[in-house]
Amino acid sequence: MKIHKKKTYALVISITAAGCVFAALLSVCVGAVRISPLELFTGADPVHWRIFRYARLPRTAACLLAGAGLSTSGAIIQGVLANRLASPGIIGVNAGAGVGVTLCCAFGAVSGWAVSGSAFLGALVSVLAVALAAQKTYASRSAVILGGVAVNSFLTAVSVGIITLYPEIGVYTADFRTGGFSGVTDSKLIPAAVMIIIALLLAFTLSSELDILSMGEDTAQGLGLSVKKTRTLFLALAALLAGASVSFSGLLGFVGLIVPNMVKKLVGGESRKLLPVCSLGGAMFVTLCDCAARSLFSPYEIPTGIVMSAVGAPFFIFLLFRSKGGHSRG
Amino acid sequence: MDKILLSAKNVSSCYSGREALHNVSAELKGGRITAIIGPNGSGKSTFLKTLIGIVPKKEGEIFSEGRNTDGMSAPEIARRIAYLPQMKSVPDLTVRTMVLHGRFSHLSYPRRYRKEDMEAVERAMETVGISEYAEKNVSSLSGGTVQLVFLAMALAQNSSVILMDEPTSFLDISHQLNLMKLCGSLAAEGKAVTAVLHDIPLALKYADDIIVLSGGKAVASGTASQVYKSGILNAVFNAEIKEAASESGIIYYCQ
Repeated sequence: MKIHKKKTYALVISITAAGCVFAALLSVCVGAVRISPLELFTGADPVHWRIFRYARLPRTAACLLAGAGLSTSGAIIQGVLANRLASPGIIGVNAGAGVGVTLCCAFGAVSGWAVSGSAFLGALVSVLAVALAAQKTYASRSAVILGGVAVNSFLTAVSVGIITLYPEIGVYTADFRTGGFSGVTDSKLIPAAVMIIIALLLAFTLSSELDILSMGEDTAQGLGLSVKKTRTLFLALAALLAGASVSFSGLLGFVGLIVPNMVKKLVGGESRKLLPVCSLGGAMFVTLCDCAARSLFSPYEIPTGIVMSAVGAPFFIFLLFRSKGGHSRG
Repeated sequence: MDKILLSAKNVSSCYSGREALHNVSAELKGGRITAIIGPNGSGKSTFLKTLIGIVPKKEGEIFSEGRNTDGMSAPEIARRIAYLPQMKSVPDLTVRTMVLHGRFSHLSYPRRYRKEDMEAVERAMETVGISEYAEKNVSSLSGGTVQLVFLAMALAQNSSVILMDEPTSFLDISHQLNLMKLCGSLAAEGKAVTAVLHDIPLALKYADDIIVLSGGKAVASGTASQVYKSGILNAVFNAEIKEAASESGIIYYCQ
């Protein structure tokens, strides 16, 4: 039985890793101009090479990073709140990052570390607010989601308010609100990439802590975990992953919800297995959605968020109706 | 004489803003089962949470094998005292992985489990009789078996003191009796086994020592027989608790 489960995990992680490589290759090749994979190695056509280097490569990297970041952020938030319906898009973490980006641009910075940092701070404030309110009021799982929806709505109003007062800053556009990768550049991507990679590596090494935290505060403390410090650390990591992703991808919804739930079905809830597969699965899912967004109505392109929502919304409804509430036992 | 493994001296603490424990002193001895009993709201759960440091104490001192627990880190306390809360969130983990987390306090970052940790886990699962469920998901098991998984996780901590908050709640009579017998064999290994119990006859039958809490104060303590004979139980619980001789020894019942 044990061997069987180990084999299943090895198979799932191998398939998702191979899927990521395939999605990345597809992503650099498809679009308004088709590039053959062979050209990437020979560099035969200088125009194609420039398209690859300055458009497709940053875009593919952005898809992979945003997918990994938002999915892992969702898995962490679900673990910390012990709520499989929580995700950065639903409880206002992405919206907090959106406020951070909008405010930063209103003050004159449009790319680089300032935008990524502001997105992180915005995400951190909103996730801490929701988690703290849930903890202090002993809120039920559904109350946490409803509270998060309210926070989401409030923060969206703040962003729209800022953009109404400062329309010239050109952020929080329809594309940003839906989420997409059409305007990704190296200067936007590199600071966020550094933040996402560091946060992912750190999260992978803290899988035991996340498992223990998901057993509830009293059990966790009884096992020797410093609950408050660890919870804050995980929420900061989740905010870092979601904030950095939102800074270049916009408000991509559902990826942080559906990928962790799908992966749990495949490999179970053990964080040591869940987090790496979530990262790879999220990266593959977002990259494939972006390929579809560029190809479905080529030469026209639709925002990636639309494709993801078209897939994500039905799944979310399915999840809602299958959810049987909590599984606390005394 | 049995060694005192955990003691509280004049401990007071607050819960949800009001004083829930007032000047409580108690000794938990190795090799003995201690039952903590009292009416609802008497501070039983708060007492256990204060001993483990989940609820901060306002006054008094707690000693683990003679050492003051003030200033001890969470992992150090966990290596000395295992705690099973009343309300538990059942995780989406296999039984073996969950019991393995009992070794958490023995490892430092980034927590790579060693051979001795694996051996401790196998021993703990064997002791409570759940080895056959090792690869099952905990959330798929019955309430009684889940309780045993939590107990195995506490055993894997390899601490000398085990605190359990209402371990028999939600268990049928057969699981309750099995659990109390298991507590007896853990005490026989020299551990101080302490449980908050609601079932007074069960506590009188299986516990060596009893601490009675009422209104946040320790109103009686001693051996089960001493506490029964003092008559305090009738006053505290507003019920008549009686004993009767049976083939298997003295049994207790409420009227």
